[in-house]
Amino acid sequence: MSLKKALDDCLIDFDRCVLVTDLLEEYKLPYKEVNAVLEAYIKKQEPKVKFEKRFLVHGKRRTQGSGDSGEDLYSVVKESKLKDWLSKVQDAETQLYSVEIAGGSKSPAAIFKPMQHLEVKLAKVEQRPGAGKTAPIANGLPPTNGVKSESSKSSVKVEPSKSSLKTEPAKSEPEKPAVSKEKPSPETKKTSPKEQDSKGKPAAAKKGSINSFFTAAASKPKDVKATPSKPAAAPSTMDNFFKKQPPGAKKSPPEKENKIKKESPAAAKKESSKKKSPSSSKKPTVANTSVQLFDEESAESSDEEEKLDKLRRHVVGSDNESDLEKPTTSKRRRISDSEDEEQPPKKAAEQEVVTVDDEMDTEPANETYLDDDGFVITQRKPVKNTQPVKKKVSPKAAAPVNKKKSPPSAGKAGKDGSKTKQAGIMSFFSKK
Amino acid sequence: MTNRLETKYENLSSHFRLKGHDYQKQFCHLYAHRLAEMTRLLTPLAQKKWGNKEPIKKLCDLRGEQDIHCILIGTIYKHQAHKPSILRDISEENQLAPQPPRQNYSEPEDKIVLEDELQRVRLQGEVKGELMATGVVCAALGGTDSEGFFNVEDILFYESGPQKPLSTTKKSRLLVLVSGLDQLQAHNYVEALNLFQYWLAGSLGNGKEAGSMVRLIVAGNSVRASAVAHVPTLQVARTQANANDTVQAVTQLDQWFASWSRSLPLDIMPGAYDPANFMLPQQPFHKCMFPEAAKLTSFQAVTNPYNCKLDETFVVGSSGQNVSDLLRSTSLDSSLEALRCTLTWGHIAPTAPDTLACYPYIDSDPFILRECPHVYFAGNCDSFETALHEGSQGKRTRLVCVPKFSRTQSVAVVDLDTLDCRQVSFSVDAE
Repeated sequence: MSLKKALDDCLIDFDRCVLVTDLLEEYKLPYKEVNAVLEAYIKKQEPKVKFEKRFLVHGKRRTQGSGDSGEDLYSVVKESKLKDWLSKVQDAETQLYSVEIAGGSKSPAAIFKPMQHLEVKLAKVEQRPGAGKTAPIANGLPPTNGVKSESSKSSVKVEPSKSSLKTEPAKSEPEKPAVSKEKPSPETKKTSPKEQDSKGKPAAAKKGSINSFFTAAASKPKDVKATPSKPAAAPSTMDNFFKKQPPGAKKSPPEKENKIKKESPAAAKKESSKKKSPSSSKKPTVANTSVQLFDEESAESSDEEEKLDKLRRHVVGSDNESDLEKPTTSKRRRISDSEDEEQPPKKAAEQEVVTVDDEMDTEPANETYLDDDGFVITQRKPVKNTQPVKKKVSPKAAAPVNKKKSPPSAGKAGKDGSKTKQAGIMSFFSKK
Repeated sequence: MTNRLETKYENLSSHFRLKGHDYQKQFCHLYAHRLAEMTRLLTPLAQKKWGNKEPIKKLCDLRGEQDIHCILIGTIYKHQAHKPSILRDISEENQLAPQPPRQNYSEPEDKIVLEDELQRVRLQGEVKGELMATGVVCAALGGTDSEGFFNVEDILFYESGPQKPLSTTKKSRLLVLVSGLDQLQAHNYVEALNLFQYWLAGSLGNGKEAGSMVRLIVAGNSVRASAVAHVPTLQVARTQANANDTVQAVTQLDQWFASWSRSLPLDIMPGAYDPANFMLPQQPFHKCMFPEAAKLTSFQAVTNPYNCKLDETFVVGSSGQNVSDLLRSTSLDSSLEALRCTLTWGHIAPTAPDTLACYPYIDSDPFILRECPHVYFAGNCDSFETALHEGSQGKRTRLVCVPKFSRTQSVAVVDLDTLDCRQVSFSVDAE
């Protein structure tokens, strides 16, 4: 619609302040044309209606200080002061700037927006490469908490991971698994995705660590014994360990894992044959809750486990021989005790401790992590704890991570130690 | 609709980009490097000016002897009784409440000292102490006296090095300089801002002029133009509200810049009170701060100070911290004179790191002006000032003090061809 028609049809409301610059934007016209049309309209209306007009005065104002060149001036002035301004400014030109009906109630202040209509513009307005991708996520926040973002996240994250590529030979569409992930769990449907995220984090982390164990085990089955030897002694509980994991680390393993489980049961079977793993037959019905996973694992017992138990006993025995390693092993036992209470599966726990050890190598003395509520918590590690960690480098020490047998042995070790000391003291007194 | 004139553009500010963030180093490295570099640059100039008869000596060569006529090259240190000192502020001897910072701490009694790598000597004679500043490197011709002073007869500054000749294209190419948009207070002059943007776009009947505008440089303090008043309070809400205001202001700026960038290339520099790093050189705003504008290649966040080349015109500028700091420590009476002094001294920010925060460089001093600019500006000045500085060997530099838009509602326009400069004001008669 042209400006003239809009004016004739009384579509422009002069009860409020009408800016010429607004009309420029709306009707994509040059200033001069808008000015001419508007002036003509006002002239026509003026006998009936009185308008309050403001003019844009453009001219040069001579200044003493600025030397060779004067000052260009664009000033918005009321009609009543127009003559004064025209006398002040050299080469003055005037144009209408705003119009509103005189009198009446005070109109609201005009809202000024960034211009869209350009008289002079760049020949090429180029977009930066990748600008379209970054734009929707303003301030780093996802636009919605809907499912879409999650699925996109998972699809992005999964692709580069090698393990997922290996274990998902039949995977064609990246977004499907994310959708299917939500469907099987009826509990999660009720909660919002945000809540889901926050609630699911600890569980997911657990799952992730267990599954990462399996994937790791599948890739290098014989390393299990060797890896624990390096760092040893986690001076914190399993819960802390889960919390310590960065949010990125928390999320990615479960995603990988779910895919491993759901999409490639064959691969999982292979893993289970090598190492302890959740039974592949139950997988389709698994509701992805960590508790169920642990139950399954705990229900299983195999020859391999017994072998490991034996090995552990052997190692515990060897631990008792060395006095230096006592404190760390006892700590390890305490950890394993707590693990036993919390999580029945032995193997999983073992592997988790292994991963803890791996992390400890790289972690600084102070640990910062996000808790469930999203608060950043810095946990200061006592210096004392770190020292025994380093001491405990022997490959044997790390192997007896958990098991019910280790705590008694630890107790024994402690008792033995105290008994011998006491005996020594008693004998000392008896001698005297 | 017409297309805007295009120019070759080259960003020459790479040396202002910080590669590391090691704040553990002492500032002596910066002074040492400044002196070494400037000595290398000044030596041939001194020899040319005063001839080879006058030996260039180190202070340690004088050995306290009298009546030795020579040239000394060193860094000026201005001993000022009222210079802000954190040590004095916190000293328990005074037992006084901290005094408000002085606007100007220059005094006629200030002592001028010349330092080289090892020693220092007090200067007297042809030295205008009140116009000098700490950190300036100069060559002084004179002689020692019995009282341990060095009587200066003549003094030589680097004068920003050589300048490439400017070939005229006889096409008007305009550079628009604006500073102090102060978006947090923009409601006070939003109408002027509205006029400004339509002027940029050539909608105010200035199509021809707008077509020749080749670039817009926003020289700092776009978000905020004054320090946040830190009222001691236990209310968390107040600080939160301030933060929210800043975020809102940045978002609004993003919209303005996105719109303007469609019309012409735009460079935005951080300023003293912007949400950017405090120390010079200030690093460019992150593109995430301006997501809409950053989509366009015509928008770019740049460093402060900023060097660029538009066709052959070498443009150097800052957001004004160097000038305002110089005005505090000297008796210079205008921003333009302060700007001129920095050009003469061959250093953008001589008072850094003494009274102006600056990154502790250990292997370079990026603020040395090695090539004389054609346009040299400082943002956030109280008023518009300009002059064509004519240095030795016919060097011509357009000095521009870009006024705060929030205060004057005006911008500076420089013709890159003729180096003419003028002010354009956008005002609204409220009465």
